[in-house]
Amino acid sequence: MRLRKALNDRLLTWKMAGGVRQTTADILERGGRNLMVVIGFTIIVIIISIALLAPVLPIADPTSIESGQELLPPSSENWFGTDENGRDVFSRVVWSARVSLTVATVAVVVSMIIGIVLGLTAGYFGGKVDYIITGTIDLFWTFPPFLLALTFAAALGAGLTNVILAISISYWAGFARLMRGQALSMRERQFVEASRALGARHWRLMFMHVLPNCIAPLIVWASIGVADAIVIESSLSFLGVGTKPPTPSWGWMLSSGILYLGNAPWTSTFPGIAMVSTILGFNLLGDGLRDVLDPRMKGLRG
Amino acid sequence: MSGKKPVLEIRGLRTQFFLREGIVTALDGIDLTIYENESVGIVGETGCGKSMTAYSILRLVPHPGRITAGSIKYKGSELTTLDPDLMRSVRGTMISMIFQDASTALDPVFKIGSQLGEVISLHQNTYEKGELEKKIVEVLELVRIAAPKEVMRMYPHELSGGMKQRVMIALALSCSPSLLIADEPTTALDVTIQGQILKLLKGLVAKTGSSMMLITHNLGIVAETCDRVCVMYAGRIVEDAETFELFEHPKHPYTAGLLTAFPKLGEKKAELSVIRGTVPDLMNPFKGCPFVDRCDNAMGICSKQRPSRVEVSPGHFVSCHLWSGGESPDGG
Repeated sequence: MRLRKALNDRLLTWKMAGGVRQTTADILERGGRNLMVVIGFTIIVIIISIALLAPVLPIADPTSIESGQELLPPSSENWFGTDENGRDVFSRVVWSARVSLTVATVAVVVSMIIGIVLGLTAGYFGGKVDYIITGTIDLFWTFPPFLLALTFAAALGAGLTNVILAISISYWAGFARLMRGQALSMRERQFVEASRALGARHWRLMFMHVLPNCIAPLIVWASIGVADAIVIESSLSFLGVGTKPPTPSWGWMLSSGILYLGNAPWTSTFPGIAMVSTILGFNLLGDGLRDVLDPRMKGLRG
Repeated sequence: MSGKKPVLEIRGLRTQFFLREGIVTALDGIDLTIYENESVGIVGETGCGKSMTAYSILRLVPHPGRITAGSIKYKGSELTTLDPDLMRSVRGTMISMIFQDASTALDPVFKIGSQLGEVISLHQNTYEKGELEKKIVEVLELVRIAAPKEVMRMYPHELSGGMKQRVMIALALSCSPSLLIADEPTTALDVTIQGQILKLLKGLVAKTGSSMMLITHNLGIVAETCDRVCVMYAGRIVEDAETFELFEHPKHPYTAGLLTAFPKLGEKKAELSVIRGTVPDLMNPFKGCPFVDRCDNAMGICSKQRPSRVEVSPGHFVSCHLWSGGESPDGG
């Protein structure tokens, strides 16, 4: 009788192991069926690979100035034509992708870390801590991220590090708000209480139980955040407070190409197309991931 | 009973909630002793303070609640004033708790093995992978989970309710605590699984030599599992006796009411008897016995003076004027 029960239990366990799909595999499969995720992901992969491969691709030096080659239209020699200084536009678009993606990714990671730490602390502890942190978040949230970034970039001066810093400072509040809300609801959950009753410390409860359960919306926000950061970076460069001129940047290419828009539209059209497709890619991925990771949030936009 | 060593001694415990609307006294002078190797049932209706007693013992009373008076001694050392860091090491290793609904008490994003591993490595400083896995398998076998190696690699959503509760019990017992608090461990399960889990709990408590405090509103569960029963009403323990004694000779009118309200199989009754009225509002402090408005035997003194705890027969305590009047009140 007991043996039979044990065998039954074992059978049941096996059935369950096969019958219910593992969560990660499940998400991957649902992601694969989501058109937005597939298109977004493909665009991003193509752009990232081109950006990564830039140094080994057989393309012209993006900074070499060729006299007599100014403002040439697209040809087999220069696919996207040349700019007012005779530099190859295709090469500059490719190298700009490196700069933009690096700036955007680093800035989003930095603001995500700031946001997670502050938001988690506020949501988990509540009370006075929450009051102070929420106040700070709201202060930053009051201004559009671009305006803040512009102010900080102008104050810090142009340059890669300063742009990253400016974007991070102006963008963390969104992550913090999101994290705080999630932590607030998650800390009341019984598994957090149960873990506390079994003697877990605050930091363990925060980072081992609350944070991993809030990761899905953070991923979505991060993906959309990269797109936002690219826009901010390009806009800063466009206005001349972003990356410094010798470094190729989409925003800077756009602004310098404006003067020649009439007779050499390729100088600003191609960087524009590259920028739009990158942003589209991250936005599609973010929106698609939201549907995949949390079907309940469908249709909402932060 | 007197030869046994107490694991937990609670004296005059009072837990209050400071709300904007006023002060709610959730626990009002709890006296409770749990001895070694003993299963004590805490019975009472919703909101009478059963769970709050458990949270107070672990010092996890949620904000804005606070323990305002009384003492809780674990094997002689005071818990109410213990350093928070030391208190944290008490939880899990000396006093553990099992929650009502295992499906919400397990973290959905971690596999069973890593959740058990977390508790074990946290309290026993076992970090070596092979050793940790051996210990995890050991506790899973303890709660009679077939194929523990497979279950270890599963997420909580892949397990049935009964299996989850077993894992929860394994979590609570993984560091062999001397006191296990089970807060309605079977409420979320169906009746057949309930029986299995209770049998398992009872067996494990006997096997590991720990004590158990079982919180429930089901008198049947208490009768089956516990050595002693405490009946709670409006934040107080109104009667405390050995299970058999309590069911045979209930002294407090509330206990008697509860027992008659419990339908017996094979007995025909046109209507179930009920205890009339509702629980008093804990926000308004009452001078006398909290049960006075619902009691058929209420006397003049009942609404004026709080009944003291009287030992009506060896090991049988009751807080009621019906008994403190007749007997000499030296027992309490």
